[in-house]
Amino acid sequence: MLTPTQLDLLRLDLSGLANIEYDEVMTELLDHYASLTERKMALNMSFDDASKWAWAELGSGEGLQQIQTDYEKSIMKQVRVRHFEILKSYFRWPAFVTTALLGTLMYFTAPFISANGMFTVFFVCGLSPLAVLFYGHRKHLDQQTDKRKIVWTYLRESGSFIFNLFYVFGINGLDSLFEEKSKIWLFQVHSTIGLVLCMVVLLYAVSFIQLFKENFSLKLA
Amino acid sequence: MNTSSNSSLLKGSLSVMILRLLEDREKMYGYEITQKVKDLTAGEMTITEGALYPALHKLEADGLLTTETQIVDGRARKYYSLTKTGHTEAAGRIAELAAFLENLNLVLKLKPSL
Repeated sequence: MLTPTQLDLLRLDLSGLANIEYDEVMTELLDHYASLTERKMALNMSFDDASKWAWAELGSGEGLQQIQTDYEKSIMKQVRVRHFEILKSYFRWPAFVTTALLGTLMYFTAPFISANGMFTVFFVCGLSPLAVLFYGHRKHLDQQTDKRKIVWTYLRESGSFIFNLFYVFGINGLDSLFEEKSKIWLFQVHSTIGLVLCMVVLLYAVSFIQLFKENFSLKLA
Repeated sequence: MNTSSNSSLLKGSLSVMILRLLEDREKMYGYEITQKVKDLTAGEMTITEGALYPALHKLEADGLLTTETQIVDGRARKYYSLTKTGHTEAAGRIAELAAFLENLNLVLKLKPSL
């Protein structure tokens, strides 16, 4: 049985030489590394020699990093699949009916709303996924567990992507059209499209919250 | 046995081997699995950590394995065991591989035609 100091030395090898940063991977590899070392020490080898042998047996730094990379990839894949499932579950008839009703309402009320007001509402909607991320970051939710760190990375990438998409195709496009209020029907149509886009982005923001609350446990990798 | 050909042959059957071992034992940890395979094959077959852990993680992600962590010898040890689905899936996959090997054996033992 290894002493706590010897275990710390092995842990240091894993974090320092192989850059193992996730607790779950560290737990598993440390146990493996320690078991290999103990096996050689049982044959009267010194701790130094036994751990060197075990390190080589484990594939040294590169092999170990690959295990961590595979772990990240596996979790990321699960997150992506689950996020798609969540989004798919939102796009059912209640969402369609609500959007259709709101869209109709927007079409008829648009002439009474100022272009600037409309633009502001749409812009705020577009920011909602990023607002969720900002709130989580402020509360340090992204640092709670290894899996959450990985989920967070996914959300950050995904949030930026949807915001950019919304900004480029939604806000930018609509902004110029909103200025052209002379053709009121065009303004009505674009306000309705803007509202539909807002609904999509809001649902996307809600999906972030749901996804983050899920307990991925390699039931994430 | 040649190591590289061994490892490529192992690739497709590693998950079945893990499922079979866990069918036999209630729970096992990573190192224990590698040693068990080594013992059973008298050292002819070795599973590298780089192949074992991703395979374990994948089986866990697929819901076939479940894990629990215990403190053993002053360090955390992660044990894997089969879930209910894992038990069912294991039986199916083992039967499938066994049937495949049987057929493969027939082809390999083909007698040269006269």
